[in-house]
Amino acid sequence: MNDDRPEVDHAPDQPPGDPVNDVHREFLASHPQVFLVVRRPDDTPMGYPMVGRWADGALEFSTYRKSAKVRHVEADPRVCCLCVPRDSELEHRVLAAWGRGFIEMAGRDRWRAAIEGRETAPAGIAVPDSVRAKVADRLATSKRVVLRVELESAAFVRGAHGLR
Amino acid sequence: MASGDRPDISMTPDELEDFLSSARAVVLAGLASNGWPLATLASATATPGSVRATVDADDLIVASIDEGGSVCCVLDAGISYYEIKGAVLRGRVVGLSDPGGTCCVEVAIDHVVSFDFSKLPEAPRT
Repeated sequence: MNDDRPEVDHAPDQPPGDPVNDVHREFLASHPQVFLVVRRPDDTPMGYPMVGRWADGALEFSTYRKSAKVRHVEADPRVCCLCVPRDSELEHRVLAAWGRGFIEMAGRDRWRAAIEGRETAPAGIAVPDSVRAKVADRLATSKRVVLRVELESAAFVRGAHGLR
Repeated sequence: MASGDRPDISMTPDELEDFLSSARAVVLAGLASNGWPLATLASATATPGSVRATVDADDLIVASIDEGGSVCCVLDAGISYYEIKGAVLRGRVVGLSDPGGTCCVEVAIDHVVSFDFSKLPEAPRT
């Protein structure tokens, strides 16, 4: 390969992208299908398909407290959230957003309320009542936790042009 | 059952091969030189052992992908809850090329995790 790729000089501990603006926030609030990418302790990337929830100015995910992703984020809180709208006919853009994740116990009550009061899941997938009840119970008993990501930057990515 | 009290909902090798053969895109993830995770949506073809992903040459992730480096490819699909399927493929870059304003990344996969929600114990049986 001709190595004329653009040089990207990543500043120490600064994520790529631009400061988060209202367009980014609205996009994240409208499209909950998010791929959460973290750094594993062996210095390799790991991605997880997730349903995100925009809450109080940050992106939140519900996950098992003992999950590998929680361990990875506790070891290195830097994450990339790739927001890929499920309906690519209506929205072809893909947004990458970067921030630091942490477990926020207070978020469990918000999630439980949202789950119990929601008719349809945010990602446009009808989640059976039994599954929602199970998630609410796991949140109540702290088997599940809320991973909250305070975003620092974001950028619409090029990806594969014309793919979507 | 899988380890702990969680059911094994992974795909069989044949199911995984079928699922991947229908994929046209993957989330391609890497790490920037300063350690921040990066990701983009790439057009792709995939098998359980390899992924060929293509992105525009000016995508943010391109500068961070080098031959021998580690990447992760994620796929998921499904309209209803019990139709959700997906796979997370981790491996190393074994080839890079730049045809026509794009960056083509060849990945040799060495670790696969898959899931198929139709295998959940509570899923309706057809």
